[in-house]
Amino acid sequence: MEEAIRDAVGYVIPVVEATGAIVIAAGVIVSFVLWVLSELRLRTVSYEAIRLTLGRFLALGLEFQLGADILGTAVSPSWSEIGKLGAIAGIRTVLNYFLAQDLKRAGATGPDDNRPDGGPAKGGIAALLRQPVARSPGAG
Amino acid sequence: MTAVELIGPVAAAPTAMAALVVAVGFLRTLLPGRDAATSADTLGLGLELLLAAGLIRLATVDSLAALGAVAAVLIVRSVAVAGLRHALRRIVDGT
Repeated sequence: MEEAIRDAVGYVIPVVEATGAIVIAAGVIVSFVLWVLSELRLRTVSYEAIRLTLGRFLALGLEFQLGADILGTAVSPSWSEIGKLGAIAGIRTVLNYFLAQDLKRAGATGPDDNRPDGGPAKGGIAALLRQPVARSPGAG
Repeated sequence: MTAVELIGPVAAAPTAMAALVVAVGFLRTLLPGRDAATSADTLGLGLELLLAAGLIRLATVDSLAALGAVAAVLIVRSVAVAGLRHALRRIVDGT
C-alpha cells in the first residue's frame, strides 16, 4: 500500500512541477504580447500593469512548484533528500513572499494599473512616467 | 525528449524577450521627450522576465550547489527590481 502511494506521488510530482513551469511560461508570453501591443500603440497598457500581470503568473507558478516540493517530502527516503527539498521550498517561499509584497505595494500605489486591459491609469510610477510622452492617435 | 531537455529552450525564450525589451527601452530613451526613467521602467520589466526564466530553470535543478546559484541570481534580480522601483519613485516624487 505504502509503495503504491509512493509510486502514485512519484508520478504526480513531475506533472505539478511542469504545471508550474507552464504557468510561468504562459505569464511570460501574455506579458510579452501585452508589451508588444503597448509598444505598437495598439493597446494602452502601462509597464506597471504588465509587470503586475507577470508577477501574478509567477506567484501562481511558484505555488505549483512549492506544492510539488511538499509532495516530494512525502516520498523522500533520506534526510539528505528532505534537506534539499526543504531548501528548495524555503527559497520558493521567500520568493513568493517578496512577489506577493511587490504585488500588494504596486496595487496600493496604482490601483488602476492592475488592469491589464489597459484601463486609464490614475496613479503608479509607470503612469506618471508615461505622461510626458502621451500622444494622440495618429500623431508622430 | 525529457522534461529537462524541453525546459532549457523554454527558459531561454524569456531571456531573449528580456533582452529585446531592455534593448527597445534603451533605444526609445533616445527619442525626443524621453528620459532615463523610461529606460529604467523597461529595464524593470526585463528583469522581471529574467526572474521568470530563472524560476522555470529552478524546476529542473537537482544539486544544492546549482540550486544555490539559481537562488542567488533570483535574489539579486529581485533586489535590483526593488532598487530600481525605489529610484523611480524618487525621480517621480522629485525627492
